Parts: sequence; C-alpha cells; structure tokens
Amino acid sequence: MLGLQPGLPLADARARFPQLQVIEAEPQHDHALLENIADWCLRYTPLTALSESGGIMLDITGCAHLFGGEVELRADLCQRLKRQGLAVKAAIASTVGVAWAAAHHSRYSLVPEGREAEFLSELPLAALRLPQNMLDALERVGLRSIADVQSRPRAPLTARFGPELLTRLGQALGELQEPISPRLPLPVYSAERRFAEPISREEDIRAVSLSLINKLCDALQKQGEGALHMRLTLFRADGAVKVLDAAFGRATREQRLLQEVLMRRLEAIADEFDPGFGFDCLIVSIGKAGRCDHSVNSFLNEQTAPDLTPFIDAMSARLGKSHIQRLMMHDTHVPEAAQARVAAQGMVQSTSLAMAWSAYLVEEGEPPTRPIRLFANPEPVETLASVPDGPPIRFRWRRVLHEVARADGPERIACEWWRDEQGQALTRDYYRVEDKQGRRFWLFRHGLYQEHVAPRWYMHGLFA
Amino acid sequence: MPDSLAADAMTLLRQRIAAIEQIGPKLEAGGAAFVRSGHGGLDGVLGGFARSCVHEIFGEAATGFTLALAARLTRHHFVWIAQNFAHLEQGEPYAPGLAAFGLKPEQMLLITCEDTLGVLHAAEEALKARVFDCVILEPWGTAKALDLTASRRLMLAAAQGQSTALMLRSGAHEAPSAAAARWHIRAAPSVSPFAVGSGSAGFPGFPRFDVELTRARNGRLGRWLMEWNNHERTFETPLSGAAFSSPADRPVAAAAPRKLG
Repeated sequence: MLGLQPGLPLADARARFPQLQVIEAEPQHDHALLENIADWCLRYTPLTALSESGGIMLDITGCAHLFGGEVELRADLCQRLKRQGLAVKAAIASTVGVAWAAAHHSRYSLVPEGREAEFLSELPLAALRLPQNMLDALERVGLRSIADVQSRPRAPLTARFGPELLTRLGQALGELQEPISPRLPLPVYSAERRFAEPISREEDIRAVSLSLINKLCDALQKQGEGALHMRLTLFRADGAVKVLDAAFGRATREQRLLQEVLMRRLEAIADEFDPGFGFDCLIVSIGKAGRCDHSVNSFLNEQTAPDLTPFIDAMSARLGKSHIQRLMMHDTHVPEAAQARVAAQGMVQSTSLAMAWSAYLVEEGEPPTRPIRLFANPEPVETLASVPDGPPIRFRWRRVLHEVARADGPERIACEWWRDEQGQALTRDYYRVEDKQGRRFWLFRHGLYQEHVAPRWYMHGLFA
Repeated sequence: MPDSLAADAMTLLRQRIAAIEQIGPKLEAGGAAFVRSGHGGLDGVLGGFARSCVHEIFGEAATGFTLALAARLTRHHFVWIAQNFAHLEQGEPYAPGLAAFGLKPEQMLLITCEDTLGVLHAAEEALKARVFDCVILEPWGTAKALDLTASRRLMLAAAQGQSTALMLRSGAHEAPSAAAARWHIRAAPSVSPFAVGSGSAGFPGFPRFDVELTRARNGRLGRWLMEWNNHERTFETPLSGAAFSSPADRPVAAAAPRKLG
C-alpha cells in the first residue's frame, strides 16, 4: 500500500520512508503461532492443515451446519481471531486452490459452487500458487491473468512451462484431486462440548470430560471397538490450546478406566495447568481404536492372576510411559546387557518370558551366583590380592575397608568379539566375595594380567 | 494351661483393637493375615510376617531381606517403586540375580520416580489397586515427605487394598513412623555349602541375615539369625553359627547391647 512489498531491500524501504520502524522477522515464531492457530481451529473441524505459503486450511465438509452455515462459520472464526488481535483473511470455496485465491487475491469471502472458473478468470496468475520464476516467465510472454491461460491450448503451455501450471489450474477447478494432509491425525471418534461462558474450575472440566467419555463409550460399544489412544483438547478462551494424550495397553471401552486415565493426565500437568480466562470448548477424541471383545470370565478358575493393564495405563498416563517398566532378558553373557528395561505399557505377558529367566535359577543347594542389584556404572575399588590371579584379600569401596572372608571365582567373562570392534575390550574375572561381616559383593578384575599391566578392580553388584 | 488362656485373651483384645482401628492385619486365627517366614523362631513369636500393613526395612542388607519377604508374599505380581537416586546409589534391580534369589522377574513391575513424593503417591496407588501382592517402595534417604502422615496414609492404603507395603530404606536413619513393623537388617557371615575350604577361605554360602525387629505394633520384638534358601524360597534356621537369640517375651531393650563385628 505504501509501495513496500516483500523482498524489497531494507535500504530502499528506508530511503522511501525514513520514519520506517523495522522489526526483525522471526519465521520460527510465526510458524509456531500459525501451528497454534491451526490447533485452535480444531474447534471447527478435525481436519486442519498448514498450507505451504503460510496459511491454514480447514476442511469444513460436513461441519458447517453445526455453526449455522458456511457464512456463519467464517464469521465466527474471523470474529474470534480478531478478538485475539489477529488480522484475518478467510474465504470458503469448494477447492483448496479457489479458496486460497479468494483469500489472497480477491475481496470475496465465499465462492459458490460451480462458479469457480468464472471467479478465477478475473484473477492474476499469482492466484494459482505458482513459483515466482514461473510467474516471471509467463509475464515475459504476456500471460498475466488466469483467463489468458484458460483460453489457450494446453499442450504447448505444458511443454513450455512444465506441468505445474496446469496442475494448479486443474486443482483449482476441481478437475484434479488435492488432498489436505492434516496436521494432527484424524480421530476415529470424537465428542465435544462448547460453552457460552468459559469454564475454568477443575471439577467442571472433569465433569464435562467424563460426560464426553461416556458418549464415546456408547459409540465404541456400538462398533464393538475399544480405545487405544485418547486425546483431550482444551480450547482456552484466549486462543491457547492444550492437548493431553493418553495411551492404553489394550483396547478398552470401560468408562471407569478411560476416565481414570484422563484424570491422571490432568493431575500430572496440574502444576502447569493454567485455565486463564477459562475454556470455551472441550473435545475428547479417540485417535486409535481396536477390536475389543469382552471375554467371559471363567467361574472355575478363580486363581488367575489379576490384570495389571488398568494400573499400568493409569500410571503411564501420570508418570510417563518410560517410568513403568518390566525387565526383559537378553541372551548374552555380558552381565549388564543380560537385561533390558522395557516400557510395560502394551507389552504382552507371555510364558516365554518366565521360561527365559528360569535359565538363571540355581541348582538346589547353591546360593545365588548373580547379584540382586547391579551398578549401571561399575565403581572402582582399591584392592589387595594375595596372588595375581586370585580374589582380593581386602578392598576399599566407598571409603570403607572390607576384609574378605569367603570368595568364589573367577568366573571369566570375555567380551563378545562381534561387539568388540576395536579388539580392545578386556576380559573380566568376576568374584563373589563375602567380607567378615557377611556382606556379599560382586567384584571383577578388568583385564587379565597377560592383557594388562595393572588391571583395575570394580564393584559391579550387591548380593543382599 | 494359664499361658494359653492368657494368649487367647491377648488375641481377643488385639482383634478388638484392630477392629476399632481398622488398620493392620485382622488377627483371624491362622488366617491369611500372616505369611509364615519358614524360620521357626520368628514364626513362633510373631506368627510370620503380617500382611496388609507397612513394613519398614532398614540396614545394610535391607534389599536382600525385602526381596526375600517379597518372594514369600508374592503369588502373582509385585511392584518395585524406586526413587531414581536409589538406583544410582544402591544399584538397579538385576533380573538374573533376582531369579537366582528365588523371585520371578516376570512378576515384577518396575516404577521409577524423581522424588520421594512421587514414590509415596505411586505406592499408595499400587496398594489400593488390589492387583499386587506386595509393593516395595524405595525412597532415598531421610526426606521430609516421609513423615508420620505419609506412613499412616500408606498403612490405610495397605489395609484398604489388602496388599503389603515393604518400605526399603537402606540409606536412611530410623525415624518415627506409623509402620506396623520396623526391621533392622544386617548381613551375617554365611557358611560355605561345601566343606572344602578348611582354612579361612571358602565359598560364600546361602545369604544370612541378622534380623532385628525394632518396632512392632504388638510390642513383640526380637532378633533372629535367618538364612534365606533361594531354592525353596523360604527362610531357615541356620544349622550352625546361631550366634545369638533373644528371648521373645522380653522387650528387646532389656537385652544386652549387641554389636556385630
């Protein structure tokens, strides 16, 4: 409007308007804001996407009537965004291309179906979302408006300017499909509630999400499905959007469980939970569902183990999935690699797991040969050994001197050659030692005397 | 027999108190309120380890004793809830060792928390969930959060969920709490299973614990030398080397001060 446009050198702009105020662009922040707005738009439709040219696309197919029609939906959206201090240009059309063109290059806010070609013919070619160099090339041959292109034979145009020109035109006219890739995965089930007055009390939020869950459970029941992933989206009146996700180890549609898991998630973020001026819309959606057939409980077998899944799901929701673990066996002789800690959620309990550990059971009449606690980082100890290859007589660990009374070893554990790329891993000699007080330790000498001049000793585990 | 009559009267009284308090094991005759340790001395005095309550376990060999207790208590599942720092300081649970010790690692769930409050909260949930036979909780050190209120809450949760809480406090000093029992566990020299080493050396034998009950709801304290049989998953009375035994009917404070090593 002042003759300033994107791409103009700053010096030129200053020359024209010496009083110009300059603020450095922050594309990352702009993008983040746009993402937030896109999330906020979930209140209108589950299908929102960022367009590559810095806009937001909403697929409002089948959603408009909920707001009283397309015009009303647009008005509501514009009004709410303006109230947040944002400048909005929005248009509705039956294709992405036309809507984009209308929003960027015209005053129209609604292009009626069937009149796309007519509408486009009045616009410049830039309205087709073409790259600048192509627009320059088209201008050089005198093609400026979309009407110029529409009236011309297509084959020479494609030959000269590449397929993109006609692809864009075809997409705008609805001759070619243009899918929108949604920012967030589309939910399978979704239930929502809006409020004339924003709600902010935690009990209210709780109560509303519970009633939404009940709705979803009914829907799940009808389909014979259960939730695997659930999301609560909270829309704050000032535009901020809070998303809470919860996962389930097994498809479920038990209201009590769904509620509990969601409450745990709310509890977990209690500290950062800031209702501000309140929330004016709540959506509970199920992102992933799976078959869920309730098995008939057997009356004969009452001794079956209780089901841990609800507990694991609830705790995972609260503490984070990685904090609830089970120990899995790895078939290796390297002691620290013999077990792996795996997130318990979604893990199938199998008998093979039990079989695996039985490999470590000891013979009758033999004490345990592996410690019950293992140090993630073996701790160095100072030792005094009577014979180079024997167990230590006394050692100092964590500043306490221990006199060895009994010892068993060595158990020689060599590094697996296929893991040892440099060929430098040292053999370890493990000893079970017991000090005079009866404390039992798992020590190892790192390296044999042949391998190493002065092998060091380490504390690797405790037996009691 | 006046003795047994007196014992009956005591049992009755305890039942009544327990009913009033609604806390702690219900002392049904021979019921599931106790799990026997296998150690004759301890079972004779206490009847075994009380279920559905909180045991606090202190001392250098606390982990071993706690896990042995867990092995006795567990039929289906148990959970070990630890503060991260405890794993760093004391080592992580090591499944091959647990299996060798007589536990079933596949029955164990492991939960790690950043702080003491997290551990307490998770433990309370686990106790109330009614899915675990026992809940091991391992807060680290002597934290402010571990006050009387916290242990009382745990007691209630344990009674409510009929699950047993084992509070593993290897790095802590004893402090007042509402726990039903407080144990102080020291290691005791083992006896080699093979009589080969005639000299000082020999192999380490079955884990032995010098078990001292320093606080109990019913006031029956004691100190026992117990050997853990990892194969049978039971405590045993060591055949030899029974260094001490304290009379059960006398308060432990009256006994001579004991110090090992």
